[in-house]
Amino acid sequence: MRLPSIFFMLLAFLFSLSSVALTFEPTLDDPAQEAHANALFREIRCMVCTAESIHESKTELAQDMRTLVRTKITEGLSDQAIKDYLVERYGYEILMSPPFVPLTYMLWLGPVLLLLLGITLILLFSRNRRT
Amino acid sequence: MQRIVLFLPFSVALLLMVMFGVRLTAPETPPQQQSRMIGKSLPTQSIEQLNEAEPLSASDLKGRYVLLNVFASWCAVCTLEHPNLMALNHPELSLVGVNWKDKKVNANGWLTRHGNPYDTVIWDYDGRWVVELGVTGAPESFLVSPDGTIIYHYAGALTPQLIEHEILSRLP
Amino acid sequence: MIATLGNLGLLSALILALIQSYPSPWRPRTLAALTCSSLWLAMLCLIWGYIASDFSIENVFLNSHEAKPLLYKITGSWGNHEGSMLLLNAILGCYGLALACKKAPYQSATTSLFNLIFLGFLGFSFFTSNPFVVLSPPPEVGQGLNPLLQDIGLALHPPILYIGYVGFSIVFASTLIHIYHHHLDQNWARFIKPWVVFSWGFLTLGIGLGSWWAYRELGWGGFWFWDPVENASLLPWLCATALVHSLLVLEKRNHLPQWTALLAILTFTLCLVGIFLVRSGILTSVHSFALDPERGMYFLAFLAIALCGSLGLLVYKSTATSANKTPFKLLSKEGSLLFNNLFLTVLCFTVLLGILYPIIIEVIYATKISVGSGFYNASFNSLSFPLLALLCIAPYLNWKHEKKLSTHLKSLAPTLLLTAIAFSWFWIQEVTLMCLLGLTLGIAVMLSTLTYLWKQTRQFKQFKTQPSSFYRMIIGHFGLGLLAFSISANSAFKQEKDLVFTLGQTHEIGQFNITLTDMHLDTGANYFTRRGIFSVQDRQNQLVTHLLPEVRYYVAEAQNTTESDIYYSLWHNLYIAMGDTEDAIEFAVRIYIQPFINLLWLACLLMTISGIWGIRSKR
Repeated sequence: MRLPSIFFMLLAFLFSLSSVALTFEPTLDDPAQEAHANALFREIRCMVCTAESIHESKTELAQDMRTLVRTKITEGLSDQAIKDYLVERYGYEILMSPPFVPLTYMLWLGPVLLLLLGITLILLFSRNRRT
Repeated sequence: MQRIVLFLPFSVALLLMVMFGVRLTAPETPPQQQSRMIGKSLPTQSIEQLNEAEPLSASDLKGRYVLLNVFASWCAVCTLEHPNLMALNHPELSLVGVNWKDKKVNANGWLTRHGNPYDTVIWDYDGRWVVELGVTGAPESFLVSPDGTIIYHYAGALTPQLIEHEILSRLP
Repeated sequence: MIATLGNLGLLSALILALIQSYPSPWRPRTLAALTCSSLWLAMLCLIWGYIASDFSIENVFLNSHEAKPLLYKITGSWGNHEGSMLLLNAILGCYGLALACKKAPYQSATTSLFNLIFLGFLGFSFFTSNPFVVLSPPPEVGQGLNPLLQDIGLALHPPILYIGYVGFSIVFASTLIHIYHHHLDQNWARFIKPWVVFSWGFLTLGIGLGSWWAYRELGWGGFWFWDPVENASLLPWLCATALVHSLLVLEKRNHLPQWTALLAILTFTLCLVGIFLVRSGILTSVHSFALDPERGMYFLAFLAIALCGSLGLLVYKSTATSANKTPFKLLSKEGSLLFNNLFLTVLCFTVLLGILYPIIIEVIYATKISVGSGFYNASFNSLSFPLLALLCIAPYLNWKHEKKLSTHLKSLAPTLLLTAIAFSWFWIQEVTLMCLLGLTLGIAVMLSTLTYLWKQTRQFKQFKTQPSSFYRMIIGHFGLGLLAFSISANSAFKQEKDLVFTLGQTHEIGQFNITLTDMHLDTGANYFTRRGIFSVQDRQNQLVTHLLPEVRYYVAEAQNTTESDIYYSLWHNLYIAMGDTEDAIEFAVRIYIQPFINLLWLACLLMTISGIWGIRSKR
């Protein structure tokens, strides 16, 4: 399928050159959309530099991912759909925050369960001592 | 009762040590199993070529085995891998380069200096195909079957052994 | 030559530690002093190798360069794995000497167990991570030190952190001996308390320094990223905090001996777990260097023996000990400290779970996931709120049974009122729920601590009547409240802008007008730099300051770093970091206004002081 050149021209219309993550790259013209994109960048990990999100990272991969996210936003995809798209290709590692799926139930619920267990044990012990 | 409660951290600790031991001594999972792209198709969007006017699409690459190789002039390790690609010559295999995030002049200059083993070179400045393919760095390579499915994905420089065991072995 | 001498020092320390592992009263102080000095001799040899740029020593070759400034040559000696392990051992030597000079209960048993642990570390250094490996023929040029490490904050961070970590080895040894003898009582608590508090103080300072370095060096205005290295130091800190408080109960009321012993064991073993996780290569990913698994296995064996051995001993020797003790009600100081233990343990568990979860999932399901700041910020922060709330009332409670709760609540009335006002104010500002709770609880803790100070010193008239431990508690708790407040305030009110500047252009951010007045190139000791001069003015166009951020290129290491420049004023920082340039006409700049961040460092300092000051006083 060949994309009409008009498509590229329209894309160019939506982007302007400005600075993000301290590099120059095309950003979206609509500030609300760009702010939305920026918020989403913070939730996606840069696969090359371990602790940074693509909001901070200067690597080539991060730049391209930002371009992708912006494109997908202009295409109207929801945040979840964009994340699913990336997870399909890169795995769960691509998300800064692990999702709440069966695989990660113990991660999210573990601490709370321990807290409840602890409180229960303390109450049990104190009741034992009283009788 | 107290002893039971104290037994809990002990058993957790023991399990943890065992788990660490397993993890440390486990052989590194082969890249084959690590990649999520096995079985997926190439990206559907068409993409610009480095030295041809018309864009290329995935359908153009069907009909034969294709080794897609992501490279760039800014990638130091690619220079180490390149001689192995130059030496690669198989009648059933077509070598397609994906030049990532290079200005055309830099890409062509690099190919002139190090040699051009590719039948076609894609120019992916925005990483459109690169991100679709789940690439995390250069060099990275994909072996694609004639019907357009990815059957092997390796992140890193291809050595002669890898080419022999993983790529040539999958060709007819 | 120096390498041989250094290696000899390390080897003699190994042999001396082996000798001291046999319980015997023969000249313990002399032996400890000899061990300590031979390790410092080895460390000095290594440092000398760095100063002289002796590249025949492999460690110096890999981590240094002729052109490095002298200060960073010296501090670079512990900026790598082998050197830092040697430093750790040297500090262990100092603690060994301190132990020999003090009168400890079960002195010879504690000394011999301590030396067994020492032996484990020395063996690790000597056999698997020896810094004195020699290269022959010696290379001409060194490979340099990572430019990010060439900073004073990161230079001081390892020694201070190790002083913290290593102190807990003595606590651990003493704990095990006392468990064995069924002697977990007030004498034991009194003995180990200064060791625990001292180490805790240094650990706090070490973590604070690391965080301060990250804030200044990494260019993103953040100070805590929940990455494995940071978490590795947070784990023992949380446990040690619980230990300090549990010791209080044991010392004053002879309760909770088992829990205190468990915390003492966990604190030290978490130090080991931290070292293991960070250096064994178990947490690295596909695209990074393959670290030596042999080191990992050695340390894992050491860790497994220490951890499972000590916990096993605790289980084996546990008895019902509450026979002769007066029980306490839950509504009491003991009760609140019990809950304090629980909350801190849960927080510790949360961080540990986050670090280990990817490993667990990978071993069981062969899938890779990453646990990042999203998880920690949500879980850890929310679980800290009950702790902060508890801290508001806990110091007021009586031992054994609190009957006058309503009286205490009355004295807390002004605190509650002010807190409610703060809550409403922040709510109107529309901060997030997390920040709101953090801000409010932080203020509540600070106010309730001050109220307690006022009450106990009879409205500030009787300052001298309280023991130093009282003031340390006040400072420590106030520091924690301040920490919670400043973290939340910073998160709620910080501003960040990515801007493009051309020469002479002005941008507005917050209450400042910032103009790029100059951009030029320059050279430093071992780098090239592009430096910008930004003139900062307030809204009345009065000049506030000039900021000079840089982008540096370190030649030897072929690496770029961003050197941000920060304007420190009382209530906020103005932070400028530079990025790329488009044809040297347009410059990408990131500017942050970081309110309240100075309070964060102050809070760390306050907590450190609460740990270290007055350590020699009897009370």
